[in-house]
Order: sequence, then C-alpha cells, then structure tokens
Amino acid sequence: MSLKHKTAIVGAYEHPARFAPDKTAFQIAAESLRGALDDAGLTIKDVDGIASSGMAGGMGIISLCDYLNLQPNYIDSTSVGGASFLFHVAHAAAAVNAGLCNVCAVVFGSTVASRPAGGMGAGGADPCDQYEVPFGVTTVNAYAMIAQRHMHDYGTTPEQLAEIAVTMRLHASMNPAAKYREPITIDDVLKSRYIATPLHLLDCCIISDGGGCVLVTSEERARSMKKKPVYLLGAGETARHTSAGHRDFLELAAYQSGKLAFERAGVTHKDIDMAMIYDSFTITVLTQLENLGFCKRGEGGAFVQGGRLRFDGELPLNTDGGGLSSCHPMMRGMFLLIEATRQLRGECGARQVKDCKTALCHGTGGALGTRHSGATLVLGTE
Amino acid sequence: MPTKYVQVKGYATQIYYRGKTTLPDVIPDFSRGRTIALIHGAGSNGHTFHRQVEALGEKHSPVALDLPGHGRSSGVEGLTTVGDYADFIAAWLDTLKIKSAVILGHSMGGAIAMEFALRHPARVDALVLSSTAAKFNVTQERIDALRAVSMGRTTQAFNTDGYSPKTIKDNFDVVREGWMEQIKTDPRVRYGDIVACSKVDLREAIAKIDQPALVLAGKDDQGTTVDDAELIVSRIKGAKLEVIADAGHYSTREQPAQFNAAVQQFVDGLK
Repeated sequence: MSLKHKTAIVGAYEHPARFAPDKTAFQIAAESLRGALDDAGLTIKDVDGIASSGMAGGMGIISLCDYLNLQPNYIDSTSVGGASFLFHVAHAAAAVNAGLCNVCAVVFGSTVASRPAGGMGAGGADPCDQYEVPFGVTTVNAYAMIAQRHMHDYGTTPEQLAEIAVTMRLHASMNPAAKYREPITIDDVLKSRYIATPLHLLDCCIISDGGGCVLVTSEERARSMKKKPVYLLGAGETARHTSAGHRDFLELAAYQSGKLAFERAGVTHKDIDMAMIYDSFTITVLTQLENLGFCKRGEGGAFVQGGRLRFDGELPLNTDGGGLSSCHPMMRGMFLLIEATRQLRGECGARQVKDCKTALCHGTGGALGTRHSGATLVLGTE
Repeated sequence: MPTKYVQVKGYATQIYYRGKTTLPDVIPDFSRGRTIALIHGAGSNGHTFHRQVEALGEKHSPVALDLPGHGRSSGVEGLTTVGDYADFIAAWLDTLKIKSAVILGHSMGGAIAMEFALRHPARVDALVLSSTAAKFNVTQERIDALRAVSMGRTTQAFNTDGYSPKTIKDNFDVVREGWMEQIKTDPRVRYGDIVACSKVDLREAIAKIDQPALVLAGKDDQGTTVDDAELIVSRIKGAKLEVIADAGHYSTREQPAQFNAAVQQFVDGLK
C-alpha cells in the first residue's frame, strides 16, 4: 500500500520571531497554528490530530493540548531531535490515510535564544552519553569529528565547506525574516574563529527563537483548501548509531531514509527541483547530500562548489537561508517543510526557484558522530 | 525592582520601575513626585540603572527601558540612528501614558535625550545628561573592532576600558557587573549603536534647548570627557555642570551615591 499522493500539506506558517523574550514556547506554537489555519482557510475546530516535540519535556504534548484546548483523536510526540517534524508529517500522512484523523497539525515553538535552558552539550538524558561525555563529546565536536574524517579520507577543504555557509547567507539576504542577512564571503568564514576544528563559527548554525506549523490532510480534502496542495509523494525514516562499535561514521541515516523516500515517491534525483537539507553545520549538508545520492561519497566537496546550491543553481538548497543564517531554534526540521511548501506554491519572491514542482526535505536529529535520526520527504505539486 | 513588558512600535519592550507590580497590560503608577525616564547607553540595557531606580524611587517615579534589540527587549537588531531612538522614546512614553518627564540619558542615551528634547520639546520637564557628548569621539579602530566581533572574527576580550583607576583598584566588582550587563546584548546591536553614535553631531542644534539641564561627567572619563560636558553646558542656556571625582564613563555604578545625590537635588529643585 503506497502513501503516494494520498495526503497533502495544506497550511504552512513560519513564526516571524527570532528573539521573543516576552513569549513562551507554547505561545509561539499557538500563534503558528493560527497562522497555518488562516493559510489553509481552516479553523481550530477542524484540527483533530496533533504532533509536536521539543516543548516542555517528554509529556509536553499533553500540556500543549491543554494550552490549545484540544481533545484530539490522534497524538504523535515522536522525539528524535531536530528532524522530528519530518517524522511527524510522514506519520500524520499514514494516520490520515488510515482514518485516524482528518487534519493533523504539526506544530512547534521555541524560546531557546532568549531563554537558554542550560548546556549545549550532548543531552544528559541519553543513557549512552554517560560513556562519551567524560571524554569531552559535545554536539559541536561530534560534528567536527565527521568533518575531520571527511577531510582526512577525501581531501575535502575548509573552502568547500565555507561555500555552503556563503550560499545560505546569500539566500538569507533575500529573506526579510532571516536573522542574519548581511552577505559574507568564503574569507569571512575562514577568518571566523574556530569553534571545534575544523568548524569555524560561521560553519555553525545560529541560535534563534522561532516556531512554525504545517497542516496535513487527505488529498480529497486538500483540493478544497485556500491554496494549492503540496502532496506528500514519499517518505523514509531511520536512525544510525555506533553499531556496537562497527561504525562507518560517514554512512548516515540519510542513506537509508533517502533511498526509501525516492523509491516510494517513484522519482529520481533529476526530478528534484529544490532541496531543504538540515544545516546544523556546513558538514551536515555536505555529508547528507552524499548519503542522499546527489553525488558519490567523497565527492561532496566539489559538488557544493561553483554556486550549484544557489537558488538559481542546479540544485537550489535551503532557499530561506537555512539554520546557518535564518532560523534555528535548536530544532530546524519544521522550517524545511515550510520553505519547501512556499517554494512549491511559488510564494518566495526574489529567491523563488523557477518551475518548482518537486522538492526534497531531509532532516537529521541528534548528532552525526554519535547517534542520530534521519527522515526524508519528497513533496510535489502534482 | 519590578520589571514588565510593554508593546512599543511592535517591540516587546522591557521596563524597570519602582513601586507596585501590576497585571499584564496595566500600566504601573508613575504619579509619585516627578516621572524620570532613564535611557541607557550603546549596547547596554535598562538594568544598569538599578541603583538609580532604587534611590530616586524614594520620592519620584523613575522608569528605565531596554531599547529595541538590547537586553531583554525583542528585535534582533537595534535602530540605526539616535533620531530613531528618540522617536522610539516618544512612542514608549505614549504607551506608558506619560505626557512629559525628566529625561535622563547616559552616553548614547544622553544623545538620544538631547535629540528627544529637540524633536519633542513639550515632553521634556528637564534633562539630565550623563557621560555624554554633543559629538562623540568614536575612532574607526573601535568601529572595526566591534564589527570583527559581530562577524565572529574575533572574541571580545574582557577589559577595564572606561573605568576610573580608583574603581579598578578598589571596586572591581562593578567592572565585572558592567561586563555582564553588556554581554546581554548581541554584538551586532552594539556595533550598530557605535555606528549610530559616530554619526551624531548636535553641537549647533542643542542651543535650541531651553529646558533646565544637569550635565554630569566622570573626572577620569577618557571617552566622553569633562571637555565634552563643558561644551554641552556652554551651548544649553542655564545648564549646570557636575564633575564626579573618581569616576570614569560609568559614574552611575562607580560613584552611585554622588551621582544619585546630584540628580536628586536637581530634580527636587525643579519648579
């Protein structure tokens, strides 16, 4: 049984806040939900499914239902890091298709920039961390280790990684809502200070407040909404970990989830008009592109050069400016879905990708180098 | 010192005051004595006035704010000119339902206060101008250094710039306190403020100010000097100068007793 073309994203809203010390995470989530409902032409009464993660701890979704005064028929709080919202959309599609709910709101809000809750290291709640944290593993140096490995094995250069950050900033300069909009050069990236060698400050995502919401419903219902539907064509998800010590660090969850999504959508790489790929760090983009099969392993460095990832390039990527420049409230997955939806609807103005019919979203949660989740979605207008 | 958010021109603006807390959307009471609006300096925030709000609040109604992008107010960027900040202050007073007030500005806040007095004279009962200048001596080197920090090219090293030698020797805690206050604001906003300051030249214009004015200067301030203060006093008719010994650029926390006494006496004496 295929899920292809059975469901669609019919409402999408990105909260404009990047620093909101006066708001709570739930408030941002609620305002985002309202924005997505307006976008779709629906009301809160139409929502009978809810999915969220990353707010108010493990059981936070119950409090969120309380805050929104919802008694939904379907709840999903799959919590697998920043990619969670891509998992939620795939699960919501299955739930709608199976008749568990009619309209599922995938929603998120965060005040991590204005109210940082604590350390930025690898999360202490993960039981595996206790064996790694004493040796100094943090999120950023787990990613730095992947970059170091890639450079060692394939001769990837800091300039190649830097071009990713430069392209994201170019896109951010065309997005009035982006947090950092002043264009940068490769030299700026290389001259910014090291955070964890070989990653410079500008190789790392920003930290902002933010939130967003997308609404998933059936293909049939989608046809009567305010805007043209963005159909889910295929999805895949999995996790990668230490594999009991037999780990190939450069094989990511994307390798498996990407294959599944392409197969299920029945499309090839040539069909993809634009991609939204989680950019927690520049190396995250490069290795995910390889694992998703856009280029061969080891060739990512050359692949990202020459403006290929620009909005007017061969594979437009993260046209909103990404987590590197626009919005990254610890969990970035939501914004991959929202920008892909806007691009497929043709709402992106100066940064609009020409003839955008099919988009790929891929999210990573957790940390490359230790344990991470990955989900890939293929979305299309037809 | 209670704090509260108010909405000003779309910015969630944090305010600091003294007195009873109130429910959301209910403006606190500012009817005690004179209302004194406190405007902080470049890259700073309203909390730096906590000693003034406490002391002046005995008899009067002081209220400080975090300007847009500063401290805990919203906005990822600050405003770009001192004039824009002055208009923001007008909108802020509208929100607080304050018709006119004693405007106390420190450093960049002093320039904002002067600009405010020129643009909205009817709303100024008197001016208190602390460690400020009609034209700031901002070097290109300082602008470039802050820009490098805002671009992530360099870290910002801890330093004691701007403090009196006596403060550094005997009262190092206030140097640390000042450091902790300024890192609450994004380096990009601090950079924008310095650029805004570099464009200020009010030397001619302030001759039009005819409200009572008290000008305060730290004797050891190398940035906004006693000479700068004297120039302001020479241009604003009837302005009074008070030089504070053993204070650099931050007399509000280096010599709070003297600072507060001077302001108190000035405000008490207003007709």
